[in-house]
Amino acid sequence: MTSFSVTVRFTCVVVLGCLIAYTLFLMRSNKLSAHVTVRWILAEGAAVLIVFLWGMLPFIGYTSSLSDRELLVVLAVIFFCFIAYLILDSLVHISTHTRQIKVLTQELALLRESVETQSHGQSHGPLIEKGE
Amino acid sequence: MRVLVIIPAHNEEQNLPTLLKEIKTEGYDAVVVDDASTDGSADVARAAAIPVLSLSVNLGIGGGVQTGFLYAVRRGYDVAIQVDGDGQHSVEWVPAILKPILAGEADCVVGSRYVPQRPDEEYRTPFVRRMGIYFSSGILALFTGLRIHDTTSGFRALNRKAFTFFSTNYPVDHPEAESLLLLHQSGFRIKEVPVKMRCRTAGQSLFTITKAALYPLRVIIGFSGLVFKNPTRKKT
Repeated sequence: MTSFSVTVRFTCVVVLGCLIAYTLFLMRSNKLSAHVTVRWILAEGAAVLIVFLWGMLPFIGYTSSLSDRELLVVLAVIFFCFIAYLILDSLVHISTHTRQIKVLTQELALLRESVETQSHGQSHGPLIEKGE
Repeated sequence: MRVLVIIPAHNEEQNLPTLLKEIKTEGYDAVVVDDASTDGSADVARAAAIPVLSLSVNLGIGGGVQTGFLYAVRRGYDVAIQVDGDGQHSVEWVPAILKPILAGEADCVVGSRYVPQRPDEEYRTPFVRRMGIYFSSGILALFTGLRIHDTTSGFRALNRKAFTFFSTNYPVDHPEAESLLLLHQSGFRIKEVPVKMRCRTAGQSLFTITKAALYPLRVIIGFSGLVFKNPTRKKT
């Protein structure tokens, strides 16, 4: 089984700690929404836990039968799926906001036209309110 | 019967005056959807006393046209005619695409340059666009059995049921072909009538080489999405 030396474990924890700090900085500076931050902090926390509990987890025990290269492939695939899930989750948020921006832009344009029409005393037909 | 001409425009300052003059001469109601133009497109429309829907951010052709449909719904129009702001569509052909709607033969009528019996032989279609049209026509026929020869034509007439449906369901990316699939899936009747179109006189088409290269992939993804989504008919 591949085991972590103290130096490797320390390096991993420091890097992950920096990542968590950067994630929190992004949230505090209003660049990242709280919903997305929570998911990423959870993911980064899970990574820190795995580093600490590397030798104890049953799954990690299973990997003792694998060679180093096989272990790397397994970890790379798991890592990719995990990151892909988080990115997809963020993209769902972005798509939702894109749809909301589209609706707001359209409503703003319709409202502006309505105000312009009224201020010029013109009429382009009856205005039927949304939902009627 | 109240007819509204919807003109989506993005930086069409040079092409709009002639088109708007033709529309005014024919006496149609019109609305220009200014898709965050950086030129004076909106001012040109206002100068011609045409209502303008100014979008604050660029939504693309799909979002722009859908805004026009929303306007038509809320102003109580019976028929919406979609005309490109680049001046390629001549208003003299509006009665031709309007006729099947008024006769109750179709819910959506597409003005087509490529109807085999009466093709527009004077119109010169760029090669990449022609390839895109062949591709999307083939895919549409494959998915639905519907033979529309000019799937990218933005010259269309829709009755109230169809544009009300589109005011809440309209594709965003390269919407022309996808919107036909959406209509067909939802049980609307589509008809193609031959028309003649003019070549763009000023400005540049948004259908660039890069977009053309990605077009087949986008059409396949868009069509697949609609087929999996399988919307229920929402005729009102």
